[in-house]
Amino acid sequence: METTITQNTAMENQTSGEAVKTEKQARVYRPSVDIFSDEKNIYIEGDAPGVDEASLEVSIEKNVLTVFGKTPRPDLDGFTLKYSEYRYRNFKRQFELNADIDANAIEASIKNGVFKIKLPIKIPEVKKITVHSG
Amino acid sequence: MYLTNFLHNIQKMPLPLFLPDLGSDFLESGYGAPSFPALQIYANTEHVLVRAEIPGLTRDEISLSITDDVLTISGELKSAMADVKIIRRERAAGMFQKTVELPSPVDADKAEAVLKNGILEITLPIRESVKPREIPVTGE
Repeated sequence: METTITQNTAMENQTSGEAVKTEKQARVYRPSVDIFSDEKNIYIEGDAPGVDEASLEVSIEKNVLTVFGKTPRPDLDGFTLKYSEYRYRNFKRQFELNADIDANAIEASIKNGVFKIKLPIKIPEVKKITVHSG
Repeated sequence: MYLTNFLHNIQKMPLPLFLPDLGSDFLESGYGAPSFPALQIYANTEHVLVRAEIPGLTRDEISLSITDDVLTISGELKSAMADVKIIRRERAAGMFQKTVELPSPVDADKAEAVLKNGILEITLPIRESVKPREIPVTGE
């Protein structure tokens, strides 16, 4: 059973959608994810350090799943930056789901800065269509 | 996958350090690219503050060791998912170790480290003997 989630690169070129209007244009970074699947579900696990359940938004519109995590600005009053390998940023990534996913049963959680999304795979049902004479 | 890093000599790096946004190819860029975990180092007259992004680990899975002005962060990123097919793998995995040189020597025994939502904040008091001190001028 092949079920896929495709990366919609056109959508990901958005760096500032409506959700990202903050006081100072905060950068939005595309978090790294691991995607797994088994018979029943597809699992997405992604890194969003600094994000907790209150600041993580997971939404689905039509067949696009959007994950947006907002990080708090750290209070670094009086400190001087000496060395930096990352910048302050929010996290956003979108996925295009195909019809095999049961959109109403998606579950999302976040712990230790890692968000986990469970996407149940719909069992294809055979719908019988009655045939009328005529 | 074994992720290691070499010693960063802070004084030799240009300041401020502006890095390009490497996106999710962060770890696959090879030699010269920042490795896991990503750090920021701040300082004031009293403390050195290190912030490291270590998503997915709990505090008993991270090891910190400090000597004089060298900090080493190490641990292992384990994948919790078993019996699954891997469709895509972008995140760091495996053992990691990172060593950095701090801007000043610190008092390791008074260090404090807090892990919250995958961000580790280590506050290190600067050693008294190296703090700048005012020298009174005598004479005329």
